[in-house]
Amino acid sequence: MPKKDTPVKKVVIYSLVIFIAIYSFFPIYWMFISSCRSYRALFSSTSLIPGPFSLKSYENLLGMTKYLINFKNSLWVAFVTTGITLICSILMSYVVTRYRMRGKQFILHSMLFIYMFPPLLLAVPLYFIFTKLRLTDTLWGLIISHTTITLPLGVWLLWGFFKAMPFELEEAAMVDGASRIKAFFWVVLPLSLPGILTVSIFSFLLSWTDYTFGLIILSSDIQKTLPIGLATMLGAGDLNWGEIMAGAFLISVPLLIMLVFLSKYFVKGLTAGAIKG
Amino acid sequence: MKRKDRHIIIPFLTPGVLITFFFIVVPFFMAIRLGFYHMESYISPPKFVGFANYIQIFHESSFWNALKNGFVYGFISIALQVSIGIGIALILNETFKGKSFIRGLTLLPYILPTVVVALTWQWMLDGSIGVITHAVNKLGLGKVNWLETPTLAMFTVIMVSVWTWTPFVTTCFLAALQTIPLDLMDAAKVDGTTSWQRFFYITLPILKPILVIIILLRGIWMFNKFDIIWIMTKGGPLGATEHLPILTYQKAFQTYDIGGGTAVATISFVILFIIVFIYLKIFPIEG
Amino acid sequence: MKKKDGRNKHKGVTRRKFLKMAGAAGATLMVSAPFVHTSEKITLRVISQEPDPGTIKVLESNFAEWENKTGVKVLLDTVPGGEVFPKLTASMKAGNPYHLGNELFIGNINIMAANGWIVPITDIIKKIGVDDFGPDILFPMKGEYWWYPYDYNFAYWFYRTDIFKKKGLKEPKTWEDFLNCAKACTADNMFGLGLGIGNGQWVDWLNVGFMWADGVKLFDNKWNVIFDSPQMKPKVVKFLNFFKELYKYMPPGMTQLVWADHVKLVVSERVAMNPYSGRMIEHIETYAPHLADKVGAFLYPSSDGSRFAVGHGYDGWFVVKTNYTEEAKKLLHWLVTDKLIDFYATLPIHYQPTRMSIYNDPRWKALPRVKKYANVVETTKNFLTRKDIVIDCVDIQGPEIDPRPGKITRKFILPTMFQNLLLKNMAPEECVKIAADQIREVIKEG
Repeated sequence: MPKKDTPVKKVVIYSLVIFIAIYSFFPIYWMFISSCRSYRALFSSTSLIPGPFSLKSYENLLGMTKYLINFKNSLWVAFVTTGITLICSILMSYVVTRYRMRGKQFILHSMLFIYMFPPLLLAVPLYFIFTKLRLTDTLWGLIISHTTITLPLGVWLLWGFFKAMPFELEEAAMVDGASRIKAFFWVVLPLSLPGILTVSIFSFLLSWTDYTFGLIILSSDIQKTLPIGLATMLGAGDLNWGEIMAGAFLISVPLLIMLVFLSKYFVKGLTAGAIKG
Repeated sequence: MKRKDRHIIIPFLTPGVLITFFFIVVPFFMAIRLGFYHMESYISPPKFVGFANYIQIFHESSFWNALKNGFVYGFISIALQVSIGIGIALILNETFKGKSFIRGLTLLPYILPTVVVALTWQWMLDGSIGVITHAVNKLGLGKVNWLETPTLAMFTVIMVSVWTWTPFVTTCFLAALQTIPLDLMDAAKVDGTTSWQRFFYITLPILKPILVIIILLRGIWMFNKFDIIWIMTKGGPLGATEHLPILTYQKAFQTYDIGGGTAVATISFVILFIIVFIYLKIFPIEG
Repeated sequence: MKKKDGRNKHKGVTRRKFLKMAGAAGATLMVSAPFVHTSEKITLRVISQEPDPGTIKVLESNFAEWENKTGVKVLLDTVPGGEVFPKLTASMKAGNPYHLGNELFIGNINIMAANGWIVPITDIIKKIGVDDFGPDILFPMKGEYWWYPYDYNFAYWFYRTDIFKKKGLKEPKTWEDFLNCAKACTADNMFGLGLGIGNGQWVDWLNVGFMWADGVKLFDNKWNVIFDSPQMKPKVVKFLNFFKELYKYMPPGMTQLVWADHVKLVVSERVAMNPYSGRMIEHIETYAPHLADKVGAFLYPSSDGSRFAVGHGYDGWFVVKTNYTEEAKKLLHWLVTDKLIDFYATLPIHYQPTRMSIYNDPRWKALPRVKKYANVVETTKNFLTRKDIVIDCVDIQGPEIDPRPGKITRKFILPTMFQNLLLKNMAPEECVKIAADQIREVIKEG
């Protein structure tokens, strides 16, 4: 039986925990109250208490900029990237774990190798290729570039996952007369839902939050995704910190929601690479 | 590969392999190749110049400055992320109310988009009206110009990076800590060991494999990180926070020295590769 | 399947099938690529550095109207001032150029013209009437007009009359006066002034009016750099020492300021005085109307009070050399004739008209802000004809209009000078020397 913690220790622990909580959460809190603070107060007061309350920043942001278009672009790119990543990585990982084949270790090691590439190393020739294919300043170009990052990650995550899944389950289905492919679709896939969910979350996250590729590949205002749109608002003159914080908060909302409901998948994904690797 | 399985294996592998080949492998070799050419724009014909780009780069002080900055940024960021990450993990491993809620909360910095983190911190550190500047001033440390001077800018950028990515370390360590058998810890406590002794002789050795991997992954990541520094300082002031990725971007997309940009990126990759190689020789990953 | 070259037959099979599929995929990609750009109709891409939301809305509605009229689709991209140049460069280097744009500083335009990126619009200017334009605004180069300038953006100082009155200050006539004002205003959580020193063209516009007032010039008649000559250097050093003193009365964060941040510092009551053009007044009207009657103005003083200066600033439209140059020119002509007053109406004080006929146009005269700020309009209009003040800018230095001074602003030579002085604490003499040498290199490049 573990020894009971002394009162002193308890106080120490709780204070540290509270400190950690504030340390992690304060910037988001500040972002939020800045976004709904009235103009004059925004530049003169550093009060930690919310208010004076005003939604003008959100109004300006949505009315005067292409924010909603940026939002739509980001959503589209993230969904398609996730879709493509899932299809490719599920299929690849499955085959790599289930079959004995040459080049198995090669594929896995090359995924780590690819992870070492500076994204900018790939970005220059990708841009060059896109110029030839007339994909610069398009969302499809961006989707492809995101996939170069999410695909290795997806393969890596799912490899560990499939490896841990016992082959007996498929065997049982095949003994019952199902073909390999049927077994794959009806037995393996449903059971891999947690792994699929984890890869989806990380793909979505990587695509939704990407700045580097967006900066390089996109240039027209109408094509921009949220991170680029928001960053350019800072320089492009007449918008103020209030609008920028409003924009920042809106970008974060889907992620905050995901964190609340799906945090265990985040944890799974983060640890999968590290522990099972 | 068994013959009858071919009809599954090949179609299953094809989409992933195609994308990997065309958009990762081919560009990789193309990038290395471009380093030996001189190009005025992405639509003009390339001119072969051999090692001229590389020689030019090694003569530029901006390259060595960027290299130094990359190492400074990388090493200090990782060191802080690992130490703070372990510290937080140890605390979060204790029992207290609301444990899972707090654990989710500490993940927050990691999932926020870099652009949100950069802009929010810039706002909080604003020289005039930033809430942190204000608080620091109130504490009697005067008005700090966080992004104004060369040294402070690097410091600030490191601090923000640490805030953002430490949760990755924390989460991994927490998961690993939970694999330490409880009886082992209890037995040690009964034997009258101090917390420090338990940490160094039980916890740390068990965590070593994870630690090795985390340092490797974080190291690679931090060395290559472009967006957070770019958004906050664009490599300034006066090149104080300019590292190899930023130098690559400036060459390839601002001055259109495309050959030079890819050469810098290739050098960056080679350096990283060598470091990882040596690292894995010293700390081999089992399994 | 047969063995090939003695290689393992499985690998051979995989590879052949793989290559076949790869080839098919590649071909599909090439064929489908045109579907990415599906439009058959002409689309013009316009790049603008006017960030005012009202202006953007007007431009967009104009473009929608143009599409209805002519079937030509027009897309607008907005970037910060001075960024049109690199954005245009990027678009050209990617093979997808903009067709029409506006940019500040004739220097930027001259570089583009020298590079062969833009076409002259002499026909448009002549159609409107060269004589209708005010002085020092068309800047013809090699006998051609390369832009349609749509505003004068004279930079001068705005200050809080109430704060000056409270502290018993008068409008400064010398640098010593100015320093005293800045010092006196730095109190009660407020600062005297706030001038940006980051890498941007606002530095060339706002920081150096003091230098012009003291008679500093960058070149002599033969393009020799005289910035660090025995006669000129002491003047510049004096100015840098003065600036170093001023820096004490500025808030932290001056490397992060861009364009309209200078205005926001006044509007948010962070500083008591700051220079800008008419945008200052427009911002106060929109965001801080309670300050509208508490703001006055004065010009950049010389060190000894013998002269005053105003920073010359200007924006204009240019046409890029593309396959659609004629369509772009048609659109431009319509924008600067039929639609000009609508454009001006969004920021009438800031967009100081460049054509004398506009000043007499009843529609323009009827704009509410023009009426309210009639005295400001009159004062800045008089800048055009006054002989007793110095009006100058970095990109028009030198004996004739040339692209090279513009490059000084693009390479951020003067911002680097300020950064060396204030962030690296280098001696002013050294800062001047470094800047002068950098300017010499730019001139040599041609």
